[in-house]
Amino acid sequence: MLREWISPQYFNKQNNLKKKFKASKPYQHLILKDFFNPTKLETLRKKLLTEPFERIDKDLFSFQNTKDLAASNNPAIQEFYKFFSSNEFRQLMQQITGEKLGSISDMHGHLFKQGDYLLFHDDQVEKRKIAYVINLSKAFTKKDGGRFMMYDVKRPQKPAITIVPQFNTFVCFKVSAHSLHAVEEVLSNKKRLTIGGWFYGN
Amino acid sequence: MVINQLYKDIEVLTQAKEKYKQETPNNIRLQAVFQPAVFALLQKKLLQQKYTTKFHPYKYHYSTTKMPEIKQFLYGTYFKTIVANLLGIKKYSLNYEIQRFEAGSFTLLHDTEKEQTATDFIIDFSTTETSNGGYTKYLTEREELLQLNPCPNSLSFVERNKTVMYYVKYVTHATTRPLIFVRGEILLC
Repeated sequence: MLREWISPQYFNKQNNLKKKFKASKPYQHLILKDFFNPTKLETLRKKLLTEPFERIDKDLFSFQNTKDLAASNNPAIQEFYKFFSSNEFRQLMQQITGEKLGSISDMHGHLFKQGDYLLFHDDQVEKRKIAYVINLSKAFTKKDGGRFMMYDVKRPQKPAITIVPQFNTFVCFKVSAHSLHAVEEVLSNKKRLTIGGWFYGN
Repeated sequence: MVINQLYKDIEVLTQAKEKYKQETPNNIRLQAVFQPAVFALLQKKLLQQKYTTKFHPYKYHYSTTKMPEIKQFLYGTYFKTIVANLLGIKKYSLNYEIQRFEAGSFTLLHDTEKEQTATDFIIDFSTTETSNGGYTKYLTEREELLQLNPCPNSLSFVERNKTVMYYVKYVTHATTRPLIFVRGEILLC
């Protein structure tokens, strides 16, 4: 299943990725471009857009999300969920992150339109070990906003890392008191579409 | 002259008190508070002030300044008369801040968890009524209570017990004009 879903360039690269993850700043993370099989991901993108999205609007954020994708009836989404929650993929994530991982939970589709944003937070909730974001957006450039920002907690005035949403980029990071991050406001009428969630500890 | 003749009238303030007490939480917004010329002058001065950024990623991002005219008004007779007759509070102490919100500004809920019961006030010197965020939302853990959209030349009072919190909604980049509030709390002595 792993070889069906992941791009060949990432086959058997666990040791290399583990080193990168461990050495990354401002906190442990990886940004993996063209990570998944692009044809499968394109199908997933199209099907995700047919799921019902609901707007959520609080002090910290404004965007739309789906219900937990574990409950989706769509075969393409079910297939992806099955792969992503498989022992095989979890083992790969364990090898890369060095964390003992249990189940994934709360896999949601997120849709940010113009004026939507997610302010500073660290994702810390009991048992969350690794956060992940799968980018499904198209044609974003810096001026469209919607960048994923990672901050050094000691210097939060400016982001340490900015990631322009790019189709088929997989981002994961270790959740801790240091994992300060945000999603910049979307400044154009492009749609920022992602799938995100967490791997939990045992 | 300074303020609208209406808000010097004890009878008008007593009627407003009735309205204030009927609301849950107790709250009221007085419109056209300053005489138009006075408002325009204060607003212009507030826009010309030099502001200092206040930023904490988990709490707030906006800027503040100090201006003697605001202090004079808050410690002067007109404000005291309104507080005494509308809120029924004679002895109190004040905490306040002049706040400028522009694109990217916000406050988050955990900054407003207060120990003490108080009556919040907001004097709105914004130059626009268009809300691209920047509204003040009052809520408890269970429900949303009140949303105060920007409203130039208004004075709002909201009674806040320990369970009530507020935040100022993130201001989006669709906004072109700054929002300026004098925000404070009236604490019983």
